[in-house]
This record gives sequence, C-alpha cells and structure tokens, in this order.
Amino acid sequence: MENFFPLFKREFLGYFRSPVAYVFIVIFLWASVGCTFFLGNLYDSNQASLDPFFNYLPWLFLIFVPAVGMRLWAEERRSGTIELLFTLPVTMVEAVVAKFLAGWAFLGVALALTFPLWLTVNYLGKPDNGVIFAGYLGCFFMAGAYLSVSCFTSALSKNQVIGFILGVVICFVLVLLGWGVFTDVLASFLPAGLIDIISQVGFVSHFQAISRGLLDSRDLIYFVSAIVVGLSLNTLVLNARKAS
Amino acid sequence: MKLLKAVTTTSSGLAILIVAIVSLNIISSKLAFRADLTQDKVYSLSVGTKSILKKLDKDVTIKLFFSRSIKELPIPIKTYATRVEEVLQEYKSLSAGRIVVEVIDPKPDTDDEEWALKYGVSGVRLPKGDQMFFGVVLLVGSQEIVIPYLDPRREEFLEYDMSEAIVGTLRKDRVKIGIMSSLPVMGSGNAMAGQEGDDTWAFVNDLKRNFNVEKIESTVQEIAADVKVLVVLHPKNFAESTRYAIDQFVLNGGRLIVAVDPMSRTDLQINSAEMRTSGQMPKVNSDLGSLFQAWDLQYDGANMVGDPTFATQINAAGTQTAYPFFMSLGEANLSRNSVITGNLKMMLIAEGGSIAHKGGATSRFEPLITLSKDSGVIAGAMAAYMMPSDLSRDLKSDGKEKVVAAMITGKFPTAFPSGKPAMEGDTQANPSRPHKTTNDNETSIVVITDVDLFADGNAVDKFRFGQQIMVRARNDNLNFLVNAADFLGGSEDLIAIRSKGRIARPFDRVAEIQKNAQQRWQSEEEQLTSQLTDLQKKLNDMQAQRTDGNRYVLTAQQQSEITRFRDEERKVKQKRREVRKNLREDIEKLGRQVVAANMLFVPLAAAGLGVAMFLRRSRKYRKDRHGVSK
Repeated sequence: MENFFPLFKREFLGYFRSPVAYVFIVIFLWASVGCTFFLGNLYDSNQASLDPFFNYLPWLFLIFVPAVGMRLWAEERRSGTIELLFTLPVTMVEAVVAKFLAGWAFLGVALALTFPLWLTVNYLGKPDNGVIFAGYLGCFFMAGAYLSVSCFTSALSKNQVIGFILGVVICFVLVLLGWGVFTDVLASFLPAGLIDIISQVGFVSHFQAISRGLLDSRDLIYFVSAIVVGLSLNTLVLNARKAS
Repeated sequence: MKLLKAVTTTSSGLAILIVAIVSLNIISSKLAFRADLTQDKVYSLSVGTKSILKKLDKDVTIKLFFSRSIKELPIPIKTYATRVEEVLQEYKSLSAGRIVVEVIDPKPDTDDEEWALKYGVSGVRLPKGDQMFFGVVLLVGSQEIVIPYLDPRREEFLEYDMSEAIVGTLRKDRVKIGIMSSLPVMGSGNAMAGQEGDDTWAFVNDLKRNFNVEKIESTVQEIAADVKVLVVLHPKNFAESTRYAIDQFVLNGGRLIVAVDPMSRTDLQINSAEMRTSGQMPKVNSDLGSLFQAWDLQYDGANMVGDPTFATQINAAGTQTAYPFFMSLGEANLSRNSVITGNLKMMLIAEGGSIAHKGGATSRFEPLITLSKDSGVIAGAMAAYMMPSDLSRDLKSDGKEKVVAAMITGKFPTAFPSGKPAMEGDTQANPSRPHKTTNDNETSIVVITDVDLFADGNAVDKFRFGQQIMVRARNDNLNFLVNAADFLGGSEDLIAIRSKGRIARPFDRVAEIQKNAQQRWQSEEEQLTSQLTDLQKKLNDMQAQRTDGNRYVLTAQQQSEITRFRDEERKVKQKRREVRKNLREDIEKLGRQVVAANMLFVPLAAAGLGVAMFLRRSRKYRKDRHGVSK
C-alpha cells in the first residue's frame, strides 16, 4: 500500500505536466457550456436549473472520458515502461486502482471547473441546489463508470487510438441500453423480463435517477459495480499480457 | 501453458466477482436506502401523510394495477411504476399493519384484467395495440376510491394523490361544499369528469375529489344546513334575498369562501356577444356590498390592481409585453403564516382587486396574498376597452401595499338588522331557521378579489391521453381554493402535503431587468408619444390657418414648415421603435454576457495555467540541457 499513493500522485500530476490536459479541459468546458446554452437553451428556458447541462453530459462524456483513459495503459505498453512499473513493489490491483483513481480525480477537476454554470443559475434565479449537487454527484459516478471501461480498452492495445475507439464504442452501447428507442428495437425479439434487465444495465437511467435529486443506494451500487467490473477486466487483460 | 493458467485463474476470479456483483445488485434492489436531496423534500413522505397514517383506524387494501409484462412499455413509465411501488411500500410500513399493498399485472384476457376494468382503472392503448393499465384502487370495507391512471407528469403530486385517496376512504360522510356562481363553472354536464367534452371548470373537479360538491342556484332563498363550506364565485347581480341567505349561512356557523372581481375577463369573454349586439359594456364586476361591510371589509370594487414587479409576459396583438395586471406572485407575496398559503409557491392573479380591514374592528384580518409598494390601481371599467400596453402605461404606483386575498375571523353582525328582506315572488314564507343577528361562535371567511385566476385558462394545462383529458396545475391557483376549502372544511393533514412539487423557478434577475426596462421604456415612450401628438397638433393648426381663399395653395414657408414637421415626426417614430427594441435588448445583453463569462473566464485561466506550465518546463529543460553541455 505504501507505493499506492506515490503512484496515484505521479499519475494525477502527470496529467497537469502535459499541455494536452489543459487543451482537454478547455475543450471540455467550451463543449459543456456550448451544449448547455446553445443546444439546451439554458438562458431562454428561463428556469433556474442545470438540467440542460446534465442532459448533455452523458453524450459529452462519451468522447471525453475515453480520451482521458486511452493514455493510461496503452502509453505504458508502447513505451515499455510497463515492465518498469511491475518491477516496482506494487501489486497489479494497486497499479490499476491508482491509475484509475488518478484519471477519475482529473475528471473530477474538469467537472468542478464547470462551477461558473452553477454560479450563473444562482445569479439569475433561485435553483434547487440540492438537485444540482445530486446532478454533479451522478455525473462524477457516471464519469467513473465510463473511465473504468476506458482503462480496460486502453490495456487491450498499444495503440492509444484503438483504445479510444473501443472505449467510445463500449460506452456508446452502455448509453444506448437505457435509451427507449433502442430497447424498443430489442423488445421486438426479446422477452419483457430480459428487456427489463438490459435497460437496467445502461448508464443513463441510473444517472437520471440521481440527477433528479434522489440519491438511491441501488444507483450508487450500480455505478460502483460497473467500475469494479471494468477494473477487473483491466487487471485480467494485464495479467494475461504479463503472463505471455 | 502459463498464459492459459493465468487466464483461467483470473477468469475464474472474475467469474466469482461478476456473480458477487450481480447478486449484490439484486440484493440491493430489495434493500434500498434513499437520500432525498431536493430542497422541498419532493421524494419523502411528509408530516401530513404520517399523521393521516397514524390516525388510520380501518384496514385499507391498496391494489396497484400495472401491466409490467408488456414489452414495449416506455422506460419512464416503468421507472415511475417502480417509484409508485416504493411509495406504497412506505405507506404500508408507516401504517402499523393497517395497509396491505397488492401489485397486480393485469395480462390480457385474465380475471385481473376484468377486475381492473370493473374498478374503473383505465386501459391506455399503446402504439402497437397493447392495452396498458397503470392505476390504483383503494378499498376500505365496501368503499372504493380509484385513481384511473397514474400520470408520470404528476410525479410530484403522487404523495398528495395517494394521501388524498386514503383520507377520502376514511371520511364517513364527505364534507358538503356548495358552489354558487354567476359563471358556468359546473359545466354543461354532457360528459364524464376527465373525459373528452367535459367543460366543468378544473377547480370543481378538484373539489369533487374530496368533497360532496353541490351546485347552489344564485336565486336561492336559504342555504341548506348540511352545507359546511360555501364557495361564492363572482356574485354578480345577486338578489337581496340571496345575499340574505349568504348572511344567515355565515351567522349560522357556515364557512365561506368568496371570490369577487372588479373586472372579470372570463365574464367579459362569455358576454362578448352581448357587447357586440347591444354595443354596451356588460357588467362584469361583482361585489357583496353590505355583506362585506358587516364583515369589517373594505373592498375596492371599482379599481383593478397591478404591480410591475410581478408583471407576467403576455402576447398582446402579436407582441410580447410584460403586463402588470397579470401578476405572477411568489413566496414573498403569499403569507407564510397561513396554512392556506404557507406552502404555495406561485400564483397567477389575473386582473384582480384589493381589500382592506375596516379601521377599529374587533375581527382579525389575516392577509393571504399581498402586493408590493410598487403596485397601483386603474379603473376596472377601462380594461375592457384599452390595450394592455396602454393599461400598463397608465398604471401609477401609489406606494401602498395591497391585499388581494385575506381571511377574516370573528363574530359579525347581520347585514340585515330588520330581518329577511321582503321580495317579490317570495315563496318561502317561513324559513326553516330563525333570523340570526350575529354568530354564536367565531367564524372565518376567506375573500379573494379575483375570479379569473380560477378559470382553466389561467390555472391548468390540459393534455389528451387516449380518451382521457389530463389536467395539470400550471400554478398554485387551484391549490389556494382547495386549501381554503380543506382548512375551512376541517382537514388540515392534507394541507401539509399539498403543493410539494417542483414548480417553475424562473430567473428573478431577468424579471427585474424586464421591469426596469419596461419602466424606462414607458417614460421615454410617453415622452416621444407626447412629442408626436404635439407635432401632429401643430400640423393640424397650420392647415387650419389657411383661409378658404387659398385652400389649395400653401406658402413656401408653410410648405417647408410642414416638411420639417413631417421629417421630425418620422424621426420621433423611428426613435420610438428603437426604444421598444431596447426593452428586449437588455435581457438579450445579459444572456450574451452570461454565455461569454462562462466561455471565457475558467477556460482562459486553464489555458493560461497550461501555457505558464509549459514555459516553465521548457525553461527548466533548456537550463538542464545547458547544465549538461557545460
């Protein structure tokens, strides 16, 4: 455990040493503000609420989170530093978790930097800040789930771009699963019980439940489970590679 | 071999993990805990419900009919059904065993489906032809109360609807409410409530859910003793004998809610045909005259009140304008101390009046709805003729807060000290109750000086869902009336639950800019308009100066004067157009500023930090390299 925190710190600060991270943050902020105001029409809606922002985040994350995660393992493998990493006295699980947490913390920072939106609605009116807090919490957990998938796909290939694309595809499927249009298509050939389970696997329904202001243990457990599954697959792939 | 081993060991580990996670998710779905983060605790059962459940002295069976097995069910409905089930379970757990909850999936051609239909749960046809049931039946002994369809759009009112239904099953006899009105509020009775073609006003249907509602003709001579609450809406041209009936109703301990109006737009619309044929303005105001005096009330029946602070955007002759006589009132205007308005959030007053307490009276006057000091009045009779923009312009603040609605409590004298007024055609010679000169115990009267706020167009939105017409409150207007009826009719538990919803939270800042812009625009616009009038008068004067002899000949000086005036007139008109455009400009400017601030500050700071970091690193790199080469 004593090497866990240095590893986490190295990874987390590593983001800020590269100019890419700043570019990432700036583009993420512009995209989220743009979606909120131009697609979500926050100002014209004349409602003190961040719903227009939260409605677009699952789609923004679809691109941005795999972009944060793609580097995590692919880069280590490409440059060969992965060998070095495993000579350090850290277990595989510690390394996986440390890298994941560093990425998650970085996404947390990016998310926190959208605070001017929160200031804006509080300046313009009186929003329900409890609901906004829940929305941010939901976003953070959802970002974690996306990231664990991206960690896994990043470990699959030496090529970051392949990791990124795979991450986007898997996350896209997970977003689609909770989407009515998609489940309608599935409903034409699958039994109702199965459809029920499938729609529960998707990200969006759980995120929306939290962002309404109702923090439900089931939704939190779902996201934590998704993270654990993603990281376990990540560990599995790395172990397999290491063994080979 | 090594790879295979690694894969199998980790795979089996992973398999165990996945099984563990799936079972954790399944277990957690049974043992959920929830934290309600909303400000108004929208998702938690309120004190009112707890109190109702505590008082429960009969067994209640709640049957939830939901067609969960239909494949193409929309996900939001499924999610909502789960939420309904949870709420019902919570009711059950708080009822000390009195409540039994049954969840039934009425599949096609089964007994369950037949029962659902028998109870009156309405099946909704889905696009692919399946019939979906999603309704609740409450059974207490032989009594049953049905909520035919649980509309997800009413999620915020789910608790209220359920608790209201439970209270409804427990009440031995429902409180009787009489409704007396000069407007057709009871509808034509051609269609069932909630079905297509039903033209009953929404507030009557709302009251019917909890009360025995009875129509009382406005020609009545005496109000039956079993009527506990009387709602008098727009008492226009009521005969003396009817007023006497109301007077005696109050003095015999009856509870009264009265809505009067200095100018009822709804009435005006109903009577517009009369206005067109006779060319005369119909009477559209109402008053209770001597009765108000007896109840220590001073009602300003001639004037309509307006408050630019709470002006509502309306569409008048194709342009959006903030109309100060349509007031969107928030918590600051609605008394927090009264159970009637204590938890209301937004009411829309549509061209109402004001009341005050008579000085030196012993009764207690409790304002329920109050306007700000910016409010002013304008003669109600003007509103029918003038354009909203002109009415807004003529509204001047008189610096006094005005009360739009109030509750008055006390003992009152009769307005008819010499007994029942003798009327022509008086058939009821001997009233069943003796004449009373005052009430034995204190009584409460709720007075509101607007009628139009209870009209469907101002209070609710209607949606069609199959054959059903779904009604959803647009504001708390009807809640005000139902709260008042509940309070006066004696059920306070429900009041604690009502109006616990997410109602609009508009941008205050934008409303304020709108108000300021309107005020500024108004004074400038007035100035320009008076300039224009002056110019036109001068033009007319010049033309009148010409004598008959030179009617068609203008001197060169006159010609140039006229051209100059015309020019000036054009300029003034253009300027006025610009001023009108500026009204919206301030709001749009704030919008642009807000977007710019969000787009620039933090992203630029982040970019700056990035550049600084990059420069520092490259400097360090150069220095290191320099050091090495040395």
